[in-house]
Amino acid sequence: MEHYTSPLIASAGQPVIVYIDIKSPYAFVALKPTFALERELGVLFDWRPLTLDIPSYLGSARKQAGKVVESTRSASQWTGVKYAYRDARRYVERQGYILKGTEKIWDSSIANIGILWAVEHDRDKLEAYLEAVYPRFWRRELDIEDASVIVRCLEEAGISATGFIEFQQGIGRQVHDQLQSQLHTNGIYGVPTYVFDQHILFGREHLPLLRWHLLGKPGDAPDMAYEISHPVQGAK
Amino acid sequence: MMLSLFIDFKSPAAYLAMKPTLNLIASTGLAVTWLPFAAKQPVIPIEKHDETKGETHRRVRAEQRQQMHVLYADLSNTEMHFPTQATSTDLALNVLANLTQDPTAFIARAFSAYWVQEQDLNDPAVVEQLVREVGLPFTAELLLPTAMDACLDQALEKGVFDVPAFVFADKVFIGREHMPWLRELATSFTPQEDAQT
Repeated sequence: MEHYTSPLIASAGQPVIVYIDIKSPYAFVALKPTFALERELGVLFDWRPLTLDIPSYLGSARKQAGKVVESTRSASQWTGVKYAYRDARRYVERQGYILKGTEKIWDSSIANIGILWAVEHDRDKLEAYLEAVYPRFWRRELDIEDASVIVRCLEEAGISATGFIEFQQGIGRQVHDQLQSQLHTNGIYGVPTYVFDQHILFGREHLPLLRWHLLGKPGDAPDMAYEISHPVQGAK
Repeated sequence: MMLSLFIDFKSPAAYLAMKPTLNLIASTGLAVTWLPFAAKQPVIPIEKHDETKGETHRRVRAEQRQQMHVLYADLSNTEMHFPTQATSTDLALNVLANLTQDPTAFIARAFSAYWVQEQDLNDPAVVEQLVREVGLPFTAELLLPTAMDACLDQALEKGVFDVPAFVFADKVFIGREHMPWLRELATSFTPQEDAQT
């Protein structure tokens, strides 16, 4: 795990760092286009977990049977949160997925430590692991706070999970926590965040700019944009 | 089909959305209604030694967002100077709400006045000058908040809470990053379909 003692900010020549969190709808929408960019350019990004502490900046809430039963959110926070979900949903539906609003703010740390595990043990299967976790979590079919569930997701992705239970309680947890404590001081606050050439950019709208950078800045710089995929029939 | 576009002159995101929006309008022939919406623009908080996690998050977020705006402004050769204090643009927004002529020239001039010349868009003399500069007739009534309530009602009814907000085909898109989807929608509506709506 020495890899994660490297600087959090990618400098010239270092791979692009991508921060994601399983419980972020915006990270969910960003997965396909980000992996597509890796394939398009024939590069591997340095994927890392950022477990968001949502209540600390966006208030908290818990729903039951579709109704809010607990909330510390202001009206404007609710408006922003609701728009964010609607926005993520319409884009993720174009990718053929389903996104249901969560009933509570989940602790996604175990699933995020699974990212560390996948990167360390079988990087080529990271996408398969995320594909095993994200869509089902967002269909409300996965308890990501249960380590045995994450073990099954790793195995389903073809990654050996032998030792994962100990890892997520031990060194994996330490590395995960160490990463979280360094994020704000390095200017990182949300997901997905792309770090490259001293730039720290939050949101998949920066993928066109990232592509332009990685291609050696040909022509004019592109503006930010959510690149759209054509609607997919049959959601999963 | 009409695009309703909510803006505020003090919003860096709305300012940087002008070029791509005008391109969209020019290339699709889309009809646009420009509407004012006084959006909150957070000033970057000063770092405190005893910040809560939430305060740190908001400070880092505000710093990073400003850096992002500056980056894209540089890349698109757009001049942009951030004010050091929170400012109001209410009088210029009142003019936008009250204008009965095509407001495009006034909007472009007001954005430039705020972000390039660093002028006060809540100063009646400045705003009057801007109206006259773009060849529009000025009357004192333009500065009154008469039409603002109706604009705000429209915004709230549609679910607008920030700018630039593009409302098109019953969908609300906040931010210019949605331009590909907006373009797709705009080009999917032919004049014939438009006549039936």
